[in-house]
Amino acid sequence: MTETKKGWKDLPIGGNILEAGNSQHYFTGTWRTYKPITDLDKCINCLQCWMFCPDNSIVIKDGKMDGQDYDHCKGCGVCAAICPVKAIDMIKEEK
Amino acid sequence: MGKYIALTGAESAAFAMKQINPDVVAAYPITPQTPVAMKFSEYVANGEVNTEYVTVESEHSAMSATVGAAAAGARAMTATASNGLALMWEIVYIASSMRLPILMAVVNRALSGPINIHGDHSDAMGARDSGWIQIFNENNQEVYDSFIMALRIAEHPDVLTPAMVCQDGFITSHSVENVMPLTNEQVQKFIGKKKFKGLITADKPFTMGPLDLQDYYFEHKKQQHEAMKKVFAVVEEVQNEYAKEFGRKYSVIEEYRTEDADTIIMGLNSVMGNVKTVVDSAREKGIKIGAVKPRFFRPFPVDYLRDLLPKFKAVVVLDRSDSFGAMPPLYSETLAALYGIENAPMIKGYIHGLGGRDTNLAMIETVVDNLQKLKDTGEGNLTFEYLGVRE
Amino acid sequence: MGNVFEITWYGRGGLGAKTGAILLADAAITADKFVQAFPEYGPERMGAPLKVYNRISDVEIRLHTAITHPDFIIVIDPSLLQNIDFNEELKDNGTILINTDNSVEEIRSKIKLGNKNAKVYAIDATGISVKVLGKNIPNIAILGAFSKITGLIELEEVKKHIHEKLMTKYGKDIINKNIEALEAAYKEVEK
Ligand code: SF4
Ligand code: SF4
Repeated sequence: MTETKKGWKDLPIGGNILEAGNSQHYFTGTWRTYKPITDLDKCINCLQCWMFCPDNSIVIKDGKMDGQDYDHCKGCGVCAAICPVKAIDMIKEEK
Repeated sequence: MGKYIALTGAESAAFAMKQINPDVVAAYPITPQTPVAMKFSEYVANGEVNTEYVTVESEHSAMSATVGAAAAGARAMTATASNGLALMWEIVYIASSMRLPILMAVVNRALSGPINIHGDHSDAMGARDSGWIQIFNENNQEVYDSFIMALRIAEHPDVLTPAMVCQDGFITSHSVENVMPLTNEQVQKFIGKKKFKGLITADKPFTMGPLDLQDYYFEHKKQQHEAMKKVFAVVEEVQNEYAKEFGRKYSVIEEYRTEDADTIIMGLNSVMGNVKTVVDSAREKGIKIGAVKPRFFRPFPVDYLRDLLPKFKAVVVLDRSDSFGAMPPLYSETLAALYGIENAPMIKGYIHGLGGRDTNLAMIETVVDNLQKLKDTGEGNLTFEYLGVRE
Repeated sequence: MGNVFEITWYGRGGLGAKTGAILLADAAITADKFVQAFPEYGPERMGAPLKVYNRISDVEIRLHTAITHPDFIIVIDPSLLQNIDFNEELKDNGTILINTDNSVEEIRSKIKLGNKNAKVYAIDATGISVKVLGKNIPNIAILGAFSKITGLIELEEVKKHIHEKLMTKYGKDIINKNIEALEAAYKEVEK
């Protein structure tokens, strides 16, 4: 987060954020202590992890669970807890 | 020009709203604002406007619905008084900080307690730092004209700030007077199509009202601060156009018989009609007195007052509200505006008419006498007191 | 009429004093006058005593004060007479119009007038209203008498505004009866 911030003359008024979906540019992946690792062979594609992930970080490819988006996954462990077949392990992040 | 019709002050506000034909009005009735909401809902029921009228369950919701509508890009309005304004407090600030050009008819009423339903300015004065433009009006014609002009001022791209159009509860809101309205076509032509972009009308959707923390909030406040500084330039432009189109000339500060005056009485709203009447009779006795009526309290016309007031030897400021433990608002801000000016006049303040107490001619005559004493001897300079209170 | 002509109505909630004052203002505006009509500020309650005021003038009216010494006092409910100090309140050479079935002489001797110079008029507006409308709403009859006494407003103008103001709320039948009451009082009041 080293970009220079705009001053009052250049900022949109009223606190408006003109660009939709800009939270994508904010990499919450750096907040992680534990990292979810998915064993896709165990996975039964029930997509409960996708429903419960608070950060929209379950990647879906062709309608199937395809691991996590590590740029944004905060490592909360909700997916691992909800998974009915224990396909997700939380591993200590190597820093 | 048109012809006079009989309208109360409340009806004058509703009539102007009708001719503006806003997209959304959300209001909750409260004495003495009730006839504004009542009359306007009648226009809605009769199909005289295209407005979506939202019947809400409180003033907090009234202002919330108005904010939502304005954010979506609608011309949105509401009306309130006293405790109603107090209840919408939180959202009043949100409206201005989101820079939504909402118009609100404020029928000034004492902010309790003990409970009182009559006219004083404690409601609007409490909201003086809320970031809204505040226009004060002496009579029903002014209420009407201010409403039309306020829309142009609030929606101006340099301003984009909501505005309160104030009038005295009961004293004008419930008094029938001659009002000369414009035609619907004149009003529509004058206000034009709305120019500001809301959420839904924008080509690209965007986020409004997000969390705004230490890293940006300060800049957004500075923007509000700067927008307020631009208001009077826009006001001058709009007033001139109004005068040119319709022959009614308004100014930021109205002066009455000030040409050769050495003393003046200053105040807001309906009491100034009484002051002018007393000025006339004092003039007949050879007293060189005039009246000065700021039409705006926010923004506060500092530069105008710094230019104008040094022409006089002594000034009395009438406040229809108290600021307990401090100087009353109009008095204190006038004092502050004059600080350090060479030839600043002597100045004395009176708190009058709280809770709708009639500020009658005899009381103002006492003020005139004391003002002459102030001019001649300096007695009472830099003091303020209650006018006509029982001991 | 260089000065402002001031009127105080004494009535009770529900007798139509406020509507009367507004109709008077409407009619006076059509006669190119400047007007005010305002109630004594307070919550309105059916049956409670109340005052309503009018100002009429040839020039713009700037005053926004209560009226304390009117040129003309209208008493729409005679039960209030005992509470009104006409001597203290009425302007010298002012006029009083009372809704009463007493004669002018009778009513003059009953009210607190002292030695004030005043013209007193009596009209049985309640009688007219009960006869024509079947109930006691004396305000319109009072306006008929007022029109004749002062000449300030034309009967025709009042009629026009009764139509405009009351038609949607009350309908044709009631309007016509009100106009009948207006005309009856105009004829009946003795100038
Ligand atoms: S919850 Fe488990 S089984 Fe279901 S989709 Fe996610 S990883 Fe696969
Ligand atoms: S750990 Fe938390 S944030 Fe990361 S994918 Fe699982 S649920 Fe989402």
